[in-house]
Amino acid sequence: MRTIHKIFVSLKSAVILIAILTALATLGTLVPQNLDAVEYIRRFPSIGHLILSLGFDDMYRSAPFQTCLWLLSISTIACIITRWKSTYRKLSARLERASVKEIKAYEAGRHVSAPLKQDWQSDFAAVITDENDVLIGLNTSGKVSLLGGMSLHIGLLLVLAGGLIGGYLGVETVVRGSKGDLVPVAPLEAVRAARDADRIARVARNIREFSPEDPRLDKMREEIDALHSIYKSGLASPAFKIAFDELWVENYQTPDGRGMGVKSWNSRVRFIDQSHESEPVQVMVNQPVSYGDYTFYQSSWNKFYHKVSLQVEFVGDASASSQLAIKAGAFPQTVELKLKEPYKPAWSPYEFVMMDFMPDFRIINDRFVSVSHELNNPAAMIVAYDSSGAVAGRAWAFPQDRMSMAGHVTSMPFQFTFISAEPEYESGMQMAHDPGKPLVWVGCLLFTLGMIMSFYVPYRESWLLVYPDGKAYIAISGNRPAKIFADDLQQLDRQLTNNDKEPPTA
Amino acid sequence: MNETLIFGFSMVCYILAFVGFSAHISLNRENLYMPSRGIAWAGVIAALVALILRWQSALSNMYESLVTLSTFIALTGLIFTRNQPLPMLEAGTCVGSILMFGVASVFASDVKPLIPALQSYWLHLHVSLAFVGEALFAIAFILSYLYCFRKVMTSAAEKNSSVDFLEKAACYLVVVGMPVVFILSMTLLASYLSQQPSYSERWMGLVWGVIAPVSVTMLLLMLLTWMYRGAVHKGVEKWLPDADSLDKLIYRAIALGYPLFTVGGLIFGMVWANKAWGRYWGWDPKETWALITFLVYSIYLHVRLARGWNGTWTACLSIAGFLVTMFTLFGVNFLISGLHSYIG
Repeated sequence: MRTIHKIFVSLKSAVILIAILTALATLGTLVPQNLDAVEYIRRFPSIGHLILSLGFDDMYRSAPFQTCLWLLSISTIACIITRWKSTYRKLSARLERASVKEIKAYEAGRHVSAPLKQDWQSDFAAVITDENDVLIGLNTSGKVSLLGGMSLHIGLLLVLAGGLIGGYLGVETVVRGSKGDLVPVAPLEAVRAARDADRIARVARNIREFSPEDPRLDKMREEIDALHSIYKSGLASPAFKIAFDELWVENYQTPDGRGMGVKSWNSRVRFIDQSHESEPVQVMVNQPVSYGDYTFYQSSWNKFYHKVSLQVEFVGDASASSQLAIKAGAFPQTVELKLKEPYKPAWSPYEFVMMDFMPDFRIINDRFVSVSHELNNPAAMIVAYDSSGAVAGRAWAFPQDRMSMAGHVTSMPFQFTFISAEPEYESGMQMAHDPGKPLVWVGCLLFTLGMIMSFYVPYRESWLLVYPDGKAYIAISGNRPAKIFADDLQQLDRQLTNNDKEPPTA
Repeated sequence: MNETLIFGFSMVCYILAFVGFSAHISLNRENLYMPSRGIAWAGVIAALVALILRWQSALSNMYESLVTLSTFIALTGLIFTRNQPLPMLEAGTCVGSILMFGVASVFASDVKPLIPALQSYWLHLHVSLAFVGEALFAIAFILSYLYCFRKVMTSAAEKNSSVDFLEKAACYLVVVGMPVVFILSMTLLASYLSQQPSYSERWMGLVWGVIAPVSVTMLLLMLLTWMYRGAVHKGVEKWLPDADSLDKLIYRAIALGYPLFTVGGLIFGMVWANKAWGRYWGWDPKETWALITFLVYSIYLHVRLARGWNGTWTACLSIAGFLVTMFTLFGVNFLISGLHSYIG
């Protein structure tokens, strides 16, 4: 027990722990985090298994990192206890515990340059006589500085404690909604269950990758199912609901009126629970809103196009057209397709589904992507299904001036031309609950105060030793370099001796 | 008036001040010291005016971050030496500021509107206070380099020097290694930028404006120092405080910078992250590297204050701390993507 205590109070252990923490944190930024197991094996064939077995794929939740944090917390507690004893001694009975030997060892010290003035004792807050009849006088200033180390370490402990509490009990998720949506927010226990289910599911995925028959997988599946059912019942009887009343995006504008980037995005929402409906509140970036157990932060937005208007032309010479009974004179037609919702017009033997819509279409690395939310180069992908549900053809719709691109990718007797699309906005709000936060903020405050007291408040002890033969010695110690005390030493000398002459340097 | 021109004026001032300090040291001309300080102050004041002029957007991209840090390095260097003239440190801070300006010139200097996440008074509080801390770490770095340089010169001049072999090796490694590390990292940066379409022409500025002149100057300086080591040793004895005083100055710079960096870089960052993203800590690479910087300097303070270590090894720790600080500033932005990537 004594050895364990010795290890934890030792500064060497604290420094080693900080060094290990530094090394692990560095590794955490160099090894990609939270990928699937196969990715690690693919990217790091020689050390992939080691990364996974040590849990370095999720470094900051891994056992080595968490153990380090716990050990550092214990070491900090040990340091606080040890420091408290020495601080208490310094604060309560500094003079009584001082010795002539200790005072003479201070770097800034020397004999006084002339005989002491008669009333020198009035210049000292306290004077005692030691066992050798030496009078010891002491003046102190900046005592609060002595508490700096304590405050700093207590602050660090609170930050660590708050972080650990947040890690185990806190939740973070995102709620999304468009204008008019009423989104249920599950109670805290349900969201925690969903978080735990996600964590177990990730571990299970990794296990399954290497050993599909692992007996642990069944138990994990059961746990995940149980947690999911808690989450689902939480959604069925939510803590409250969020009504998304409005989302609006403001843009910066050039002097000639062109947009030049997003200035802000904002949501107006109401919180509705069984007995109460809040007033509408505005959530903005950097201006969060709290309700119930959660705080909501405007973290993202999305502009999407749910409804798209298209003009349809019949292409008489297309391969499939010969078997269809379509009145060519009835075209062009206009249709309004909703994303991923089937629609069968009266004039068509097929059912159409708009599978994807890209407002700013590009082909990058053989992939079809949208590079912005703006309608700079709109493209819609439409799939036609026949009465049996089989795919009858695919087509791309572009604006009129770019329809030449569509010819290469159409296998339908219809040609679709983009007319217009109404933008809709979706608000993404980070929803968080962290019971450790108050501790973290108090810890930060104490840490800051501790640093100010330790590094910026000068602590000074002015000592005087008067020997039985009348000789006197002065010294100054504190938390500043001895050189800085040289001037103070001269001033003290003058003050005690009424000697206006410049005394010799120490 | 265009602020870029004012920053250019500041850079000219730093170059003139550096020449002045160097002439003061090498020619032993006392009367050059105060004018050199005056010129350096003129550069700092001009740069501060330019920063105030673009205050609304300042600190939102790499160019602004680097010119701000450059200004703070020069400013803290001048304040740090106001009671105790240290021309070699002042010349060093001028070099630091010039190099920061040189690297900044590669990045776009145009003022861009702030993205929503950056529209907060926390931007200025968080970044500027962290930069003051980092500027003081830069002062500690220069002093640590000078400490090692002094040890190297002492061991080269005195046959029976008290410096032991390991210490000597560490000092040589620092004195020769730091310029090599700087040139290598700038070469890496240039190679990275050359692959980015937006820097297709600018990256050459880094090669001809920073890498080439620094390489030539360092080679020349090392050669001259070795050839005239006797004279340089005398100069070092005259113009640099003894090793013990240098060690205490390093501690002072770190003791001043550490609380500022911790409050500005970490705590204010946490408060802002909590307001903007809903959590005070997310193990984002920039956050993590700021924590690593804090941990390295925490180790320095623990071993120095509680274990009484000082001298070469703590100077090396201070140098390691500054290298980590620079990686947090540059490396994370260019090599690791994360939530802070917009400032690249």
